[in-house]
Amino acid sequence: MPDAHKLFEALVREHAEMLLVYLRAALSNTSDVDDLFQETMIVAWRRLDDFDESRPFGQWLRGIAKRLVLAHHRRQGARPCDSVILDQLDARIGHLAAQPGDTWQEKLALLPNCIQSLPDHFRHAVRLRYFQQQPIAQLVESLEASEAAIKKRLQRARALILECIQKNLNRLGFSV
Amino acid sequence: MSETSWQREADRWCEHWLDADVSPSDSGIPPTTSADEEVRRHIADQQLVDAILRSLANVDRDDTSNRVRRVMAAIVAESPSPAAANHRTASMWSLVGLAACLLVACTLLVMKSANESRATEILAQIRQVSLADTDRIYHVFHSNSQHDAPFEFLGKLYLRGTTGFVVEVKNYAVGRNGDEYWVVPAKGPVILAHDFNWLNSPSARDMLELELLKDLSVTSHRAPLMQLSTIVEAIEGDYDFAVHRGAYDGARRLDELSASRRPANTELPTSIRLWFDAETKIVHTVELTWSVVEDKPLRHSVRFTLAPAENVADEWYQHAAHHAPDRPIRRVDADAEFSAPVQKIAPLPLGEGRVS
Repeated sequence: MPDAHKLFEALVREHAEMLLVYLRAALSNTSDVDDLFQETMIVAWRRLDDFDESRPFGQWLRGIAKRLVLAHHRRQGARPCDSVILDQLDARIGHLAAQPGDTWQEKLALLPNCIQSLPDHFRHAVRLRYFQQQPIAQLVESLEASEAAIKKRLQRARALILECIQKNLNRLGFSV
Repeated sequence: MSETSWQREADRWCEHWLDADVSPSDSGIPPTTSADEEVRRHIADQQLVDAILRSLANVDRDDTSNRVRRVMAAIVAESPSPAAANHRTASMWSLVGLAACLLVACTLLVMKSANESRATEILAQIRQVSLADTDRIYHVFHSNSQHDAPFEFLGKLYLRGTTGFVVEVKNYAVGRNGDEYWVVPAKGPVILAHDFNWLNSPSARDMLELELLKDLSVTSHRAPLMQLSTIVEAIEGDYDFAVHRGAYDGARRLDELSASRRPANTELPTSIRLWFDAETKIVHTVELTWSVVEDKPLRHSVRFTLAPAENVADEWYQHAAHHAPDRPIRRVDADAEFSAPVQKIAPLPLGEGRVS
């Protein structure tokens, strides 16, 4: 019988991107993301016997991650984060994870179209902020707009992207 | 709290925590104290899209691989007892089936499922997936020879659930736009018909030189076999079938559904094989085989293989996307003319179609 570690490694690889998105959404610090990613997987390995096979493995992982994130926040008192926020993240990511596709990237295949369909000034702000990783101060110069206006554009762009994903998945008979 | 005020609070939070240049922990802005769940759900949505965008912008497989390596190194360092590891191995075999992960089943390969009800359930799931209005593109291959002869590439099949399809081969295109079937032959008028039966006429197929349709047209009560839902319907009604567990191909596990036709309906393929993703039930390959002579190693087969996804516009399922705008169009009333020789359709000025 193949080694248990190799089997578990395959599961870790399959769910890594999804779990990283969940943790990045819940945590502001990259090193916290790395730490809790590792901790979640180690706890999953230790508690594998408790896994209910009738449920999705990814959902179980996020349940473990949620408890670890809440404990982390209690210790750190940092970014706003509570059960409501984490449950909302879990529900959204759960629906995305259920989309057709073999990888997380495939499940999010409609995202580039949603970005593309943004109004020009929103799309431009998203491109500079996320894909060129410019700080807000540089966006203020690049886009010749106030800091408040830039932040408002980014917020609106994110809301429109989520709306676009929802609309497309509703069309396909899914919901987010 | 009014909608305006909760939005203001959520926006204020995003300004300070999500879109701040300084590290949030240094910003001195307190976490939200809002008791309003709407505010927190809105914040969660903003956090989620922010995380997805950051992930999309930083797709670094090596980075993820390094994380996985670190996790596994830590787990191996724990060195569980062999008994515990074996117990976990047994637990994970069922997870492997659930999660369609890789590597492992290479050593198992095809495991036969003898459970008929399970096969029926899987076929129903495949049907459900095939009904979704999702565009899928298949490469079409044909083989007309001895068993094991190579397949030749014929063209592409675009499928959109049960509402639309387009088969594009070198000298013609055939499609359905939800309301009607159409054919864009290499020469002559574009043919429109509300009923696929008209195209199922042997004389029509010969006139239009629609070789592929000779295979994929079936009895008059069915839609053509280029629609997956029609294939599933045929399997349910006219075939004995079983599901076999497949091997991982490095990215997914493809199970196989093999179906053998019962003697009654000789127009249908002798056998149908579907390879589908064990987790998503998306069909990756379909192979339809007609034995030319029963019990002889001669057959012809059509194979559809799932191609990378493309954006397919709604217009693609309209005939106009496949020919020049000035191409003459001939609408055939299926009820009135189906039985009439196709050659009697008045010849129209010929035009070259844009069929690639």
